[in-house]
Amino acid sequence: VITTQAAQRTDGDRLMPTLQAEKPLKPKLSPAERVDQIDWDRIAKELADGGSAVAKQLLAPEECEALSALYTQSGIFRSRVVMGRYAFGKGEYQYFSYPLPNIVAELRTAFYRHLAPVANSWNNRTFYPSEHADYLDTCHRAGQQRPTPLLLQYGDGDYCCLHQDLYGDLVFPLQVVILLAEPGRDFTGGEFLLVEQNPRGLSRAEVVPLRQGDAVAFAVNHRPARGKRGTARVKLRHGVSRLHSGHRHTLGIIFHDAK
Amino acid sequence: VKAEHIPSADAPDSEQFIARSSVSGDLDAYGAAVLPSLLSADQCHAIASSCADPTLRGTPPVADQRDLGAGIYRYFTYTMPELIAGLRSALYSHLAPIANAWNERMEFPERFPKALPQFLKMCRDAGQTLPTSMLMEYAAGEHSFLHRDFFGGLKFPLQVIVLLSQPGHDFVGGEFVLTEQRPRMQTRPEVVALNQGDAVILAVSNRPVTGTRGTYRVLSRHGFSKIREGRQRALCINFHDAAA
Repeated sequence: VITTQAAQRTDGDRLMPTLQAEKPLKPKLSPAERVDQIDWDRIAKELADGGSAVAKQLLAPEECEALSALYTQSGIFRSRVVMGRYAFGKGEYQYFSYPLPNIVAELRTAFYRHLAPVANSWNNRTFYPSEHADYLDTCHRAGQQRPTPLLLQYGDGDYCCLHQDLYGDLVFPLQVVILLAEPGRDFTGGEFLLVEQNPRGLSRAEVVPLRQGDAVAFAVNHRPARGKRGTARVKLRHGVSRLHSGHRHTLGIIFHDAK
Repeated sequence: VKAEHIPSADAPDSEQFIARSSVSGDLDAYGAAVLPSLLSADQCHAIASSCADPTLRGTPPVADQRDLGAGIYRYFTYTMPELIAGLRSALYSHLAPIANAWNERMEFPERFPKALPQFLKMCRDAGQTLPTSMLMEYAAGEHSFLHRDFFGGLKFPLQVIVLLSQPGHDFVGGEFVLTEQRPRMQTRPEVVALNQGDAVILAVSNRPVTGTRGTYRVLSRHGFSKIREGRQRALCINFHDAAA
C-alpha cells in the first residue's frame, strides 16, 4: 500500500528535494521497524540545521485511519482539552492513559532510541539514557508520571496557537507529530508551523509540508544554532494554522511525562 | 489601473465596496483578507520584470527594513511606475475607512483623509518622504523574518502584498505567514493561501480585536516561509512613507 501511494505523488512533491530523499518504506515492517529504517543521519542533520525533519509515509493510510478512530473511543484517554476554553486555539485534544495503545507505545519507544543520541549531541548538561523506559523512570521519580502522547482533532476553522509542550522541569528536547489525515482530500488549510526566534529576537516561520502518515520530528523548546560567535540557543514554538475545511487528526508523541 | 477588481479610486461607494465584499469581515476575523486575482498574470510579469529597473533602490530607505532576512529587496522611488502608483492610490481609497474605524477602536489619534495624495501630504508635513513599497524576491532556501512594516511617526495601519509568482509552477513552499500576538495569550498563526495575482490585505503592526472585556490590540507580524524550490516574487505596497 505504501509503495502505491509513493507512485501517486504529484509533480509538486517531486520538486521538493528534502522530501524525495527517502525510499518508500517496506509495508510488511512493524511501525517500530519502519522507524528503524528511517535515514537517521539525514534526520539528525536536518534537525540541527533547521529544528525539524520529516520522515515520509511512516504510517499507512489504514493505520492513520485506525488511530484517528480512537478519538471517539472511551476509556483510553486520561483527559480532554477543548482549546477554545483556554485561548490555546480552537479544536480539541485528548491525552492517552497508560497503558498506551500498542502502536503509540511502540512508536514512542522506537523514536526515542534514535532521538536520544541527537538530544545528547545537543545538550551536554543532561544525559538522556539510550532506552525510553530508563528515561521514563527518571521522569516518574521526579513526579512527572502522567502520559503525554495525545490525539488532536481539528475541524473547519480550528487552529492551534504557537506553544511549547512543557510539562515540568524534565524536558526531552525533541518530539514527534504524525499527520493522520490527507491534505486536499480530508482538509484544507491546517498547516503545521514552526516559529523560531534567534538571539537577536528575529523570528522565522516555517511551514512544514506533511501528507497523511508523514512524521515530523522537531525541537520542543530550544535548539543549538551555530553562529559566527559560537553556539547560541534558538527558541522554538509550534502550532497549526486555521483549517479552511474538513477534518484533521494528528498523533503527538512527547517523550517526557507530565506532572 | 487595469486591475479590474478594484473599483475606481474616485468611486463614491468605497465604503460600500468594502462592506459588500468580505474584506472587512475577514480582516476582523483573521487579520487578513484576500483579494483574489487582483492582478492578471501579464500584470504580474510586467511588475516582476521591473525588478531590473535601475531607478529602484537596492538598499532600504530606513534602517528598520534591514533585518528582513535573506532575499532581494528593491525599493520604489518617486515617481513610481504607473501601475504601482494607480494600485496604491485605488487601494488606499478603499482601505482608509477601515483604517479610520480601526484607529478609533484602538484609540490611536491618527485619522486618514479620503485620498492618497492628501495622506502623502500629511506624511511630507511630518518629514516622511521616502517610499517604502518594494519588490521582494526569494530563491530556494530563503525566507523573510516575521516583521512589521512601520517606521515610526505617522503610520497607516494596513498594507497590501501581491504575489507575483505562481505556487507549484514557479516555486514550492514560500507560504505567507501571519502571527498575532495577543495580550496574556498564546500567539495565533495564520497561513494565507495565495495564487499569482492575489493580494492580501493585512495589519501593518496592530489591529483591534473585540473580546469579552472590550477591545484590545493585537500585535501582527508577517513573513514568507522558506522557499523550497524555484523563485518567488511579490510586491509589497505600503501607504505611509518613511522619514528621510
